[in-house]
Amino acid sequence: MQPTIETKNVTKRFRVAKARQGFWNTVRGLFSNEGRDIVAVDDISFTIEEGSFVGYLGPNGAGKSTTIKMMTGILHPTSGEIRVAGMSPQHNRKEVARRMGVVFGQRTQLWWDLPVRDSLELLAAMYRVSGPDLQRSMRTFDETLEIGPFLDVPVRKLSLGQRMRADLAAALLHRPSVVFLDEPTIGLDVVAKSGIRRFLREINRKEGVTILLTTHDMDDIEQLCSRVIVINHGRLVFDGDIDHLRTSLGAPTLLTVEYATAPASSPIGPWNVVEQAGAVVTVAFDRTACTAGEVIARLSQFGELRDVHMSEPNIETVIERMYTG
Amino acid sequence: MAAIRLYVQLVSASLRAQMQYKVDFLVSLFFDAILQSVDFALLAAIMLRFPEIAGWTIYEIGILYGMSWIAMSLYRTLAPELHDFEAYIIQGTFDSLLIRPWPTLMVLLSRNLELRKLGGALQGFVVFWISTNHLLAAGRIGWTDVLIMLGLAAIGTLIAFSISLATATFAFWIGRSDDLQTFTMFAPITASQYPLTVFPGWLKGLLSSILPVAFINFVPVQYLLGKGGSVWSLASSPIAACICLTVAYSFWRYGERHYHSTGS
Repeated sequence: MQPTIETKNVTKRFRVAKARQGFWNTVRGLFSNEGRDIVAVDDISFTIEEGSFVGYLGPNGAGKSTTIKMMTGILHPTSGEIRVAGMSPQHNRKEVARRMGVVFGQRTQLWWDLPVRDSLELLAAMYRVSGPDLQRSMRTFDETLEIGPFLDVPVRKLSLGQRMRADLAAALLHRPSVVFLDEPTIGLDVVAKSGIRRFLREINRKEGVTILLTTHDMDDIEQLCSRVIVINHGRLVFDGDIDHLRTSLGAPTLLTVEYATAPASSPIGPWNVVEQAGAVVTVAFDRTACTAGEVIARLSQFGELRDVHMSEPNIETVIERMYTG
Repeated sequence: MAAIRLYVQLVSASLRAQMQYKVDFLVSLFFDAILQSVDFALLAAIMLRFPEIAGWTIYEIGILYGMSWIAMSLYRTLAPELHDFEAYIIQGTFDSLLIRPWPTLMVLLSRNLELRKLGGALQGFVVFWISTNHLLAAGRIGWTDVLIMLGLAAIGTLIAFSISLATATFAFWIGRSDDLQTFTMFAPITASQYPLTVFPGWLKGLLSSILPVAFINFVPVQYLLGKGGSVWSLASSPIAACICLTVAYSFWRYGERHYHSTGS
């Protein structure tokens, strides 16, 4: 597998200058050094192989967007090196742009006042997609993203879900090998979300498109990403698969047992009792410290078990722990 | 070539989008026309009071005025997005230009064409026409001179464009540039409607160096009207335009790398 995205010791520092109103203040701003430094991304390195589906997570302001903007050639890193499809997005911006697709969920890349079809045609011209290829792509997108019904509707009149589907079609029209998706499901309802997830899974599996996704929706991550990279305060805090993410943090697994009769006292063992309501007891334990079997065996010493139910830690709680920890 | 074809395609899409707001277009066309008339009335009032300024007659100044207006209006027509560039920085929309496999300046310019500004070029041309006709009849200039002047006005568009481009570039650092345009672009262009010799020395120096609007009209026209200078005055305009464009575009490319974008 070829590495499609490589970042090596990437750091981005911003000098935040004060924006000013009025003519003289603007002139003064030219000469003043007023402002402060912030480190948005701090020494981040990772390699993403061709065909991966990677979730890029972190709380607001962690540096996710800044990293994506450096990988897409929008921002230049203060230090460190980035390669996308073997090239630097900074020094070969246009070549990299030709090979990548970008969707910023908060901001459409389409022509606001024109029909979706016009946007797709303009993008086809921009990326040198031939007429027959464009027609073929439009047919495919109609099947997968169901954009057909609103192809002739101006973008400003689309619903958010429709607009996002059109934006995805626009970003993939030139068959990029790498796709950056910044919160593509933001603000969408459940049906729209699952439609978009199905589409993303398909282009990743069938066409081998490498996808890097940022999201705050944990279902996106659980259903799509084979690998998760987490950053916080600009630093990389985790890089691995989801199961590993769960276990490495020692996030608690919950086990709920129902006794035949309520136990006389609170069961004591290598766990925390989260809830006890009569005969039903919920305990939280660390899977890296002991197995579920052991916990059940120990719990059964406190009475006869009628029912057992175990739930894995939800990714959201895991991430929350990581952010606050 | 491919870039030009794409530019034309993108620009016509922008115009189609603009036409969605026809009333808006007509209203602004109307106000532009009023503004231009006021501006012209002002100049006419000055000229009727003083038939001569610094040894230049009303018709000679009419040539300067006409060329200046043609140059500025063509620039305003072609590059409205440069004039309002700070919005791209403040809102972070410059992002969407950087992710395209084309030069950012080309994509930026293709996003809008302000056709109503052509009214200014028309007004400038009318004044230029009346003035040159008068001087032609008096045998002061020939038809070749008139054609050269029109060519110079077109070159002047490039000079105005370059000044505006360099000014807009400052937004990459300070987040603002629209106010600066008043200072670097509009004030000098307005000054270029008058003979350079009426201004004090430091201003003359400024207008023929860092803000080289003198090359849009005064320097070559002075020579064509036999008021001084040499053939070099004529050649200086295209040379100045080339230098301006090169410097401004290099500065733009440099500024691009310092683009900050906005939070998410």
